[in-house]
Amino acid sequence: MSEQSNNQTPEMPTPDVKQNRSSIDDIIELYKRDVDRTLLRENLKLTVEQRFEQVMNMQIFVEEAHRARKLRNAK
Amino acid sequence: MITDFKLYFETLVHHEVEFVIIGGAAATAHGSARVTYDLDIVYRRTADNIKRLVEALSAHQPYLRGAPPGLPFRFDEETVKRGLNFTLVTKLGAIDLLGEVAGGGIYEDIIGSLVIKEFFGYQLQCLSLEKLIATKRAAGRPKDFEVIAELESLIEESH
Repeated sequence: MSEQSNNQTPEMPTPDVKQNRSSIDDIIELYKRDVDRTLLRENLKLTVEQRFEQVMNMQIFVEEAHRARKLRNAK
Repeated sequence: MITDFKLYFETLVHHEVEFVIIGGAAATAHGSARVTYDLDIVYRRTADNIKRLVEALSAHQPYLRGAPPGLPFRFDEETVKRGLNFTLVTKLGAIDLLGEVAGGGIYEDIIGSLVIKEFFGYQLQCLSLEKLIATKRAAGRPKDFEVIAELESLIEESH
């Protein structure tokens, strides 16, 4: 073993910012492309109460749709 | 079955239950466009609060969600003390009671990551967007990737 290799610290590679990201972060970035930001901006204009009322109305709509499908399938 | 968030909040507040809104309901409060079908809360696991929680929900016939009917389930203090997290359905709809949430911890752990939001006439504790994202990441489910993407987009849109 040479004297040089005993005394020198191996040179550390320059940190790559990407090394701080996991593949999950990359996956989430891909999903973000499909987020409807127009819808989010509209939602942010609503009060919190209005947002919950919207969710409950959607629940009613989905339940009605399921009921209609069951009726249709029963015929 | 429809989950009546307003009635749930009224019931819990009326009985002075200490809780934090998390999950889809918290996301809704922050502006999420996704539909959520249940109320998720982290409840404080002191003896007094468990008593108040049981008193709040008992009148609404809590039962194990998805379980076959007729099981000898009793929603009482002993059941809650011996358990931790409960996936329930009541006359008010679906509710998940969490004594501990992955990526967040127990009530005392998340109390520093709250946002107070006023709605339905009450000041209610909601998990912050950032902490909500952390809990979703900790859950590690692929189905949460869409949710996390939307929540991160909400943070970006809010600035």
